[in-house]
Amino acid sequence: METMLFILSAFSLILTGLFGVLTRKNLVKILLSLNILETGINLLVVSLGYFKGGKAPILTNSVSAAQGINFVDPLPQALVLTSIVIGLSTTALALTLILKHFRSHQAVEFVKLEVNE
Amino acid sequence: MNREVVILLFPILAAFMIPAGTIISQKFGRLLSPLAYVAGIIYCLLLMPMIMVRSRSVIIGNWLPPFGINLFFSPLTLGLVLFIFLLALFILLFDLRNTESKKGQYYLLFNLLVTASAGLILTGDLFNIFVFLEIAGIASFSMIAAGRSSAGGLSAEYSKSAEYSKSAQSPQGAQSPQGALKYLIQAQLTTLLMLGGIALLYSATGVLNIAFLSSFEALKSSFAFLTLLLILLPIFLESKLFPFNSWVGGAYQGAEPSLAAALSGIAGTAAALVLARLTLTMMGSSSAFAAASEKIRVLLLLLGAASILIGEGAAFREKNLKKVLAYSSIGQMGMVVVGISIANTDAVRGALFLLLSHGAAKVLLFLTAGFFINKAGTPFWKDMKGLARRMPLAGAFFIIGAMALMGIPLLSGFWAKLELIRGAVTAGGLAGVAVAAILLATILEGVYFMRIGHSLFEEGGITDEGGVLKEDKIRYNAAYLIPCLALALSLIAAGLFPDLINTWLSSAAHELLNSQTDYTGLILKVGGGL
Amino acid sequence: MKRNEPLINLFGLILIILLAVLVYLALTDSGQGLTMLSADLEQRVSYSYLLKNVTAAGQTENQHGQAEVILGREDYENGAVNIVTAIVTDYRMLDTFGEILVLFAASAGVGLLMVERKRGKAKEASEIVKTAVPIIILFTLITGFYIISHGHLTPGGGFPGGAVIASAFILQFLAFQKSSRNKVFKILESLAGIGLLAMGLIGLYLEGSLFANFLPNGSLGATISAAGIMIIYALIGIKVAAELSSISADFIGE
Repeated sequence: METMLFILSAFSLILTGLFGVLTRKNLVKILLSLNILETGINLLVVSLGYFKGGKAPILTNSVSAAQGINFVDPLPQALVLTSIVIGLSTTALALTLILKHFRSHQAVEFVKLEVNE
Repeated sequence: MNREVVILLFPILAAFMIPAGTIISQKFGRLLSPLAYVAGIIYCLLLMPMIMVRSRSVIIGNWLPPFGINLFFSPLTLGLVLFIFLLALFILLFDLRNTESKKGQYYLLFNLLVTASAGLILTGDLFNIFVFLEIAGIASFSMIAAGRSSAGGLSAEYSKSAEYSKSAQSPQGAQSPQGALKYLIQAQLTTLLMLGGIALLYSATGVLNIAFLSSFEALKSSFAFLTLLLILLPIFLESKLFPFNSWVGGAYQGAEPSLAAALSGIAGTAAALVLARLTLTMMGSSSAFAAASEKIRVLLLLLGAASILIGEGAAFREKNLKKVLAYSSIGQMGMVVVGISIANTDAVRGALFLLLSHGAAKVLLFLTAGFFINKAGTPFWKDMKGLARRMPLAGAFFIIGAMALMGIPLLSGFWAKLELIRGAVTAGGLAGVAVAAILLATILEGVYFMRIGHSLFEEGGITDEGGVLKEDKIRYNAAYLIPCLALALSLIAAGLFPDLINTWLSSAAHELLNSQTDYTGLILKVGGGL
Repeated sequence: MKRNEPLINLFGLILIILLAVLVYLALTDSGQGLTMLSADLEQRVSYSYLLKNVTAAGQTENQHGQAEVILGREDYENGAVNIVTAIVTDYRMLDTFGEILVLFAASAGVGLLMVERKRGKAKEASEIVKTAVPIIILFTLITGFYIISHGHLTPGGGFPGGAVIASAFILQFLAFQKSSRNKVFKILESLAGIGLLAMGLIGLYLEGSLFANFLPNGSLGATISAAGIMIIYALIGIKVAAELSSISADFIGE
C-alpha cells in the first residue's frame, strides 16, 4: 500500500516534469522541469526497492536468513546515488550552456538562427 | 586473470593526467591522447588471437554476474573497440595540425567520449549502459558547445576578416551553444526515462544483467513492452532514429569537423551496437521478452525506414556541407536499424558491415569537409566551386567517401547494402518497405553527392576570386594525409575483398542472433545462479 | 515568433494524461507473467548483498558456512555494515567509477566553456563574516572528513563528504573574494583519479580482477575496518571535492 503511494507520487512528479519540458519556452524552466522529472525518477527507483516495514540497509545487529531479513532493497538506493551525481553534473553543464546562450543572444529561449541565408 | 579490461583504461588514464599536465603545457592533452590510442590499439591486437578463439566474460571486482558487472569480450566487441580506437587515433592525428589549438579539457572530454563508447560496446549490464551513455552525453554536449557555430573551423584568415568579426558581433553569428542545449535536453529526458525503465525491470526480475534478464521467465506482454520502450529511448536518440533526431542538425552544425567525425563515427557505432545488444541478444531469442519482441521489432523497422527517407530527404535539400553529412548519417543509421530489426543472418551482417563502412566513410568525409570549409571560408557547398580542382587529392578522398556511402560497386558500402537487401528480401513481409526505402535513399544519395562533387570540380569559381583563398599553393600536411589515406584505402580494400570482413562479421552476427550459445550461455555458466 | 500559450499548455496536458493512462494500463495489465514489484527481496540480487554471501553465490551460506551475518566477526566480504556503501564501492564499482567520470567530464566541460572575465569590484565582506568564516570552514572540513571516513558504517561516504568539503572552499571564495586556486584542484583531480586507477590495477594484479578488494576487511562493524572501502572513499572524496570546487570556482570566476 505504501509502496503504491510512493509510486503514485513518483509518477505525478515525472509527469509534471514531462509537462514542463514539453510546454515551457524558458530554458531555465525547462531545466527545472528536467530536475523535477529526475526527482520523480529517483523516487520511483527507491520506492520500487521499498518493502513494508523494511529497515535502512545498515547492519546494526546480527542478522540471519532463518529469522527473516527485514531490510529495504539497498541496490536501488545505490543506483539513485549514482543518478543524483549524474543529475548534478548535467545541471551544472546545462546552466553553463544557458549562460553562454544568454551572453550571445540576450535571451533565455531558443532563438531562430538565420545564419544559413 | 581478467586483464582484458585494461583496454578501457588507456583513454581514462590519459584523461586523468590531462588536468595536471595542462599546467605544464597547453599542448599536453593534444600530444598525449594519440599515444593512449596507439597503446590501446597495440593491446587490442595482442588480445585478438585469444578472443578470436573463445569469447570471454570479464568480471569487475571479482564478483560474478548477476551480482557484479561483467564486460563481454568477443570477436565482435573487441573488433569494434579496435575500430573506434583507430578512428579516434585518426581524428586526433587530424587535430594535431589542422585546427587552432584547443584547450586541454577538450582532449580530456574526447578521451572520455571514446572510453564511454568502448564501454557501451563491452558492457553486459543495463545500469552500466545508462552510466556510459551519460558520460558520452556530457562529453559531447560540452565539446559541441565549445566549437564555433555554423562556420566551424574557419581559417585564420577568414576569422580575421571584416565579414567574420561583423557576424560575430551580431547575435546570429556569435558562438552559440543552442545545438548543444537542444541535444542536452533531449538526451537528458530520454536517459532519465531509461533509468525509470531499468528500475521497473529490476523490480520485476531482481537482476540488472542482460544475460540473466534474457533467460528469465516470461514478463507480462504490456509491461515488457513499456520497459523495453523506456530503455531503448536514449539509444533511439543516439542512433538518430526518426522522431528523436531533431537535435542532429544543430549539434553537428555547431561541432568542429573533427568532433562531428567523432560523433558519427565513434558514438554512432557504439549506439548501434547497444541497440543490437538489447534488441537481439536480450530480447531476441529470450523467454522473458517473447511477448513484446515482435512489436518492438516492427516499431524499429518502421522508424528505421522513416528515418532513412527523412534523413536523406533533408540531406538532399541542405546547403551546409556539414549538415548534409549529418543528415545522411540519419539515413545510414536508419539502414543499420532496419537491418537489426529484420534479425536474420544476412541482414545483421549487412547492418554491421554498413555500420563499419559508414563510420569510416563519415570520418573521412567530415575531415575532408573540414579541410574544404577551412580553405574556402564558408560552410556552404555551393560556394566551394572549383575547390577540388585546386586540391585534387582532397577531392578524390571526398568522392571515395561519398561513393562508399552510396554503395557504388567495388567500395565497401555496396557489399553492405547488398547483404542488407538480401536479408530483407529473405524476410519478406514488412521488410519490403525497408527495401524500397533503402533503394530510394541510395538514389537520393547519388543525386546529392553528385551535385556536391560536380560543384567541387566545377571550373572557375572560388579560385579566381582570390580574396579568401590564398594564391600560394595548397600544401597537404601529414596530419591530414595519413588518416584520410588510411581510411580511403581501407574503404577500397573492404570493397575489393569483402570476404575478409564477412568471415569476421558472420561470427559476429552469429553471436548476436544465437545468444543462447554465444552470449548468455557463456555468462550464465561462469556466473552463479540466483 | 508568437506562440499560443494556452493552446500549447492544453495540448501538453492532454498528451500527459494520455501517457499516464497508457502507463497505468501497462502496469496493471491482468495478463500472465512477471510485472512491477513481482520480485521479492529473496529473489533479488540484493539478498546476497545483505547476507554477504555473493562469493558463495547460489547457496544460502556465506564464506563462514552460515546464512547469517554476525557483527564483530572477521573477514566478511568487503567488511562494510552499510550495504549501500558495499554496493557502491565494491559490488558495482564500475558504475561508481563511471559516475566519477561523469563528474570529471562535467567539471572539464564547465572549465572549457566558462570564460574568465574581469569582474567589477565586488563589495567587500563585512568584518563579522571575515572573522566567522575561518571557524565555520574548520568545522565544515571536520564534518566532511568525518562523513568520508565513516562511509562504511553510516550513510555518507565520498560523494556527500566531498560535497561538504567543497562547500568550505565555496565559502572561502565568497568571503575573501580570492581568485581560485585552480592549479591545486587540477593536480588533486589528476592525482585522485590516478590513485583510483591504481587501486583498481593493484586489485587486478593481486586478485585477478579490476577493482578487486585486496586489503584486510577487519571485524564487521568496527570503526577501522573495510580498509579497501576507506581508501576508495577517501580518493573519491578528494576527487569530488576538487571537481565541485573547480566547477564553482569557474562559476564564480565567470
